[in-house]
Amino acid sequence: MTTPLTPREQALRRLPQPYSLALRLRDAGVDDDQVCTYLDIDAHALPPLLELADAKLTAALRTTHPDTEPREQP
Amino acid sequence: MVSTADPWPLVGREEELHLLNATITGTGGYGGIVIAGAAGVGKSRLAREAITGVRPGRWIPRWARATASARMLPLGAFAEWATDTPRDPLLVVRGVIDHLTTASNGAKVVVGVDDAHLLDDKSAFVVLQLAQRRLAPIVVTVRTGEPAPDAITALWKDEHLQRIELQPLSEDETTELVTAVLGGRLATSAARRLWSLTRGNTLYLRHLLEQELASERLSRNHGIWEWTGQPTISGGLADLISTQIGALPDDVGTVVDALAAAEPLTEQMLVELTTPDAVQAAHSAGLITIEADNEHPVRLAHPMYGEARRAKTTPMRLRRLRGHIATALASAPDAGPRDLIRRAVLTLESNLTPDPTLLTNAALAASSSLDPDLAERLAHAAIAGGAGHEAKVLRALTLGALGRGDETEDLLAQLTIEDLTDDQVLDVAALRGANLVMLNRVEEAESVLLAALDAAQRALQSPHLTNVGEQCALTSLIVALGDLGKADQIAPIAARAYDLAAHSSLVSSHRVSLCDYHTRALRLAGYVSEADAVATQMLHAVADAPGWLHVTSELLMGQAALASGRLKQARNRLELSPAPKALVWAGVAWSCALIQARAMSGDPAAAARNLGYLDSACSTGFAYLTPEYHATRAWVAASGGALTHAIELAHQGAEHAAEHHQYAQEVVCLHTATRFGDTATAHRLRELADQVDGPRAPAAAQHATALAAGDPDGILDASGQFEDMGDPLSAMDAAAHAATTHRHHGHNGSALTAAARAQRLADACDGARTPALAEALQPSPLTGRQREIITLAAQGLSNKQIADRLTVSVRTVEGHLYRASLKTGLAGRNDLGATITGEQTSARGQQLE
Repeated sequence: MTTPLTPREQALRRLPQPYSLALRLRDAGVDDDQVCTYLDIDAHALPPLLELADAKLTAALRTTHPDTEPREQP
Repeated sequence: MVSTADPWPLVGREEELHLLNATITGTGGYGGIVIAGAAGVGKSRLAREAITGVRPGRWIPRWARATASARMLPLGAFAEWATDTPRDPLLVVRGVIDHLTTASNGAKVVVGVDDAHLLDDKSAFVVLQLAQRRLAPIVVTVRTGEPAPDAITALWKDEHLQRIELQPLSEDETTELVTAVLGGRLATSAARRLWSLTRGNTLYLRHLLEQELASERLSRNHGIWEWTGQPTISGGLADLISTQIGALPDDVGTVVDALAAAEPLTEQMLVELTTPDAVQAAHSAGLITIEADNEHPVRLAHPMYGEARRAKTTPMRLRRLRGHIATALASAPDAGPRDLIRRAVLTLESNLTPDPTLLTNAALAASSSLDPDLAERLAHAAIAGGAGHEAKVLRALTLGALGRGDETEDLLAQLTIEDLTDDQVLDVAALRGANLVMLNRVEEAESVLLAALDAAQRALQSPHLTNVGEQCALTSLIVALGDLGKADQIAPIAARAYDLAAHSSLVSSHRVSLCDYHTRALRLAGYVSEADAVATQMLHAVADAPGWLHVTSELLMGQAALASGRLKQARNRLELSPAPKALVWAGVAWSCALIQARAMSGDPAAAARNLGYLDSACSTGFAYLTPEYHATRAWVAASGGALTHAIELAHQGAEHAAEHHQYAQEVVCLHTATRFGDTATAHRLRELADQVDGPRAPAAAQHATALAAGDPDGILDASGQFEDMGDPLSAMDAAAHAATTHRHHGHNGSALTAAARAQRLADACDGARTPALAEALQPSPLTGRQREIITLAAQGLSNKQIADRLTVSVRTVEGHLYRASLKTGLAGRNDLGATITGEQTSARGQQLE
């Protein structure tokens, strides 16, 4: 049996991949330039993308319950 | 009727709208915003909504749309605001800007420009002027990756406007949108498939939804939208996607086709199958993504690209392509189990001759990946290709996991006449033993359970036991001990079985059914909280496993929720998951849990809905769950007010359980009758309490004994025991009985206290409504029998029909109705019925005669 996923991890898995990837990379301390390369976006688009990703994560956390099953990794 | 032609609601864009609103009204520090994104992601809809939704009246929206055709004309996109006499080009631009930005009554203007990458140079200049001089906030959409006029790229490069990359909808948002469009809840599996196919692209979603609705593969079943069969890509959608991905040269098309047949492929393999230039071209065109991992796995940029190409490729070409890929995979070094399965599946669907060894190994790998459907298919093909004993045992195991017990038995019976080694004989015997326990075939032995217990214990002592034999013996033990009422002996056996399933490929797919037997045994004994925890752990353990395991893990959680009184959660989980009908054991268990959850919620019509399927499933010989089947039917009868019939059904379940030594199930059936007010269960329940492990049997015996004795304090004691074991529904019914008993003794204060306890427990169970609770909360001068007859009369049954159902004379029925009428002062059948159901009746009730 595996350890249950945290609500944050469950919520991250339900976001579109660019949002979850951006948040994971930021959390891992990756440079902005590299994040933009990974995400294939213009550098100017990174701050609003992170802002939206944070807002989407907050919304997803509101509907994440401790007993909700983890989903497929996006 | 659903119409997807209407404008779809804007769902899942609250965060984006908030950001856009802040930018337009000047609080974001920019002169506007550029919304970039892929085709179909919803840029235009979001932009329109943003500019029209900013304080209507104080802001005037102006909307311009660039198109490829308007691009031919200078200022084509702004033709609506251009003056007629273009003597000086600069004056024309100024005129457009003036017209665009002028509004009456002091209102402000906000400008939207859709598909700005298609603007002609002059129109682009207008947009840049608006932004540079901050003449009006602008919202501009551009398609990511498309070349745009310099004036447009300068909008964000020079930081006049903020740029956001609009992403598709998340899984939750997609589900929310489809739910709003269809006007009803979507089955969990349908929601997941819709998202995995469209990845939240609303344009694809819309086409797909229209197509699947028209073909009736997406249809409403009892209020829930279910999606059955394989979606097909309509010509319209395939054309749309083809237009978006453009006309592909043949070699680039082959790159997409290869990934459509088998995704992901390593970059090296894809190059070998096509050419380096073709892979490079597909990547530059945004058709594929190449990850930065070791082997650079390549995937399609969107799942629909593959679907669209598949729809237009001939089957023969696909078979050939799969053959090429399977051959390439065979020559790849260090192929893992995933590639092994892929190679086998591709081979089966290609022009190659299948290799039985490859198929057997792949079936084993599929089984260890918790995909018994695929494992069974591969094992079947392996046997057809000449594979031996291992493939046959594997197929028997996977058939068993899928609940196809009769086919398992046929296969095993055939195996016993083959020339087997000692080890193989033991395996087959253990497999047959476990299978017969599930089938509960009384003709095979005087007591299947006792025989299985004996066989399993002997098998476990054998030094020659294989993993298969061990797993089957352990499963038999768990089922047998659980039903025999020896749940306290199960923990070490279950731990050993889970450990074995985690380490043996052959038996790993059995872990969910194992968990079902284990948690059932725990719940029967009254270890409800422990069962809940085990089910939750299993849900997480199989979260990434494919197909039916999701459905069955939802079933486990639904059962756990029901046992713990979380009726709403139980109904949600079970109603939103399709009945796992391919797995007979799971289908029966699913129906029983859902029907009981509905009945205990006081919803008899919904409860009765799945009875037809349950009847047919239970007639297939899967008799292990027969007592629960009778108990479920009893709950349906009770929720409809037919308590006498309900008690009879519960006793039928108890008798079946007793005959088959299923003592723990007998306890539950007899306690079910007790909860319906039966006072004849106490003696047998006291006997069972001495021999059945766990807290349920003593609590049930206490409940029944105190109810028969008219002892409200004793009943309340039982209620406390049920609450302590995590079964608030039984605790609620006991408290309700205590209230009614107190009232019969004239102890109205104590009755109120007990009724309040019952109500509290009902609230904790999401508003549960059972016959015991209804009687306790609705003080009535009527006897139980009078209440039952009134309920049946209010349902439209004639006195003769009621008499037949209750096995009494018509005169007795008339007598009860007459006395009920005298006590209540009501004369009509419906009016009398309303005293129980609480429903309003028409002004003139139907007369008693």
